[in-house]
Amino acid sequence: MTGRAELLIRALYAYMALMAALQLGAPVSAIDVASDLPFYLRWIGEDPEPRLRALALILTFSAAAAAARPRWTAARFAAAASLWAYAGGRYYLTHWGHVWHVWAVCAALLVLLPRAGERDADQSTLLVLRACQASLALTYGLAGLSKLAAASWQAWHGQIHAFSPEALAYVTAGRWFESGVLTPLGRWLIEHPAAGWLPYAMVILLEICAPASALTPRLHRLWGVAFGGLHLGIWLLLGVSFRDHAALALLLFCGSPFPDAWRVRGTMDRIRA
Amino acid sequence: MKAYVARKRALAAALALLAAGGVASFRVAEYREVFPFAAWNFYAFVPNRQTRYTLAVRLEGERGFHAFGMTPFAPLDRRAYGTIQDAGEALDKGWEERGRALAEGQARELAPAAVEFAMSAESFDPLKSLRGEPGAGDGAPRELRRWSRVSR
Repeated sequence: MTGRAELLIRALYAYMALMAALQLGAPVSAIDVASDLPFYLRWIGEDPEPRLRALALILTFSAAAAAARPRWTAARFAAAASLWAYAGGRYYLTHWGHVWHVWAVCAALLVLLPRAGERDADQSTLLVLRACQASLALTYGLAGLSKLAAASWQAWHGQIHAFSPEALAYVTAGRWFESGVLTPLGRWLIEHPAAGWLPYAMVILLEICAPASALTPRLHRLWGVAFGGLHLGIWLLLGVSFRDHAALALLLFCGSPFPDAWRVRGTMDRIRA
Repeated sequence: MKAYVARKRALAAALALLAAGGVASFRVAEYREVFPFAAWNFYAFVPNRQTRYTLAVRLEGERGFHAFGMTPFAPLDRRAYGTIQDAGEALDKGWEERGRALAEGQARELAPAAVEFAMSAESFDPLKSLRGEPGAGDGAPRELRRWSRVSR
């Protein structure tokens, strides 16, 4: 396993253990409809609080074990299974958002890391990390495409759409009525609606182009900063905190092992030439 | 090399499933996605019109309804406000079981003695409304549903 790749995998599991530990004291008030639960989560609905807490505890320990010993398949599997069950249960029962969705996907992908001593272990490790990066980039791409499709539909029907000058101010106002949250930046934008046009157009462009990040390893750090900046902006404007999701983006792209692997391969090619 | 190729195919299939599941789950699942697939269509549509839902309850032994005094302008509890908006949206879309369960669940927390529930909706231009411009609203709120609690 290359040094940077191993460091990144350890950091991912260490963060996973930390975010699970922070959930241990979180209140669980199940006001939603338990019948909404998919079949593999129905057992949580009967008595959610102690079961979700137990899952958070299993996740904390298994992720910590995987951080200490990234080659331990059982620890990675336990982390993925408990993360799916915990995050799924919280999502359905307590109106939790999408903050752990990509974490759950990445945890499942990381189970496919090669065993110690396996042939092509380094390449296989990089392949799995690349799939994790692609899964994250894919979600941004889907978000960008849905905004573009909705903008086309709304423009066709003569409505204010994503490329209208006051679009971001409308989104901010809508968020206020939907959730009761209005940040100082949001309040300022309500008074200066046209100021939102360029940032919103740039967000849509960034999201649509995000899948290209998988093909541009030299720019991974830049992509990481851009994704982190996007979430910082969303938090400042709409008060939507995607802390753990943003941390995943920063870890995967700012801590990407690919710029190094790329450089090593280029150097080897030059030596051979 | 064989294991590497097999792993590569498995990962490519997982990513394809993730993309397809994200788009499809929003269509097949009522109201929400199927975890962990996400369509990620947050704020895709710019809210030209906003609907605000209000929940009112009648308490046991009383005749009149009490509306929960929650608006974004004076949020008593943002989580309760958000749940009532979710419940109203579900009822507005005809998803009775979910809407009523959400509304009753929230009402039980705020007013345990509630025996009858009423959900009303009000539509307006969100930006104009926040800026206090005239012509923001559609007029009087419309009553969506009124129902009695089933004895448990």
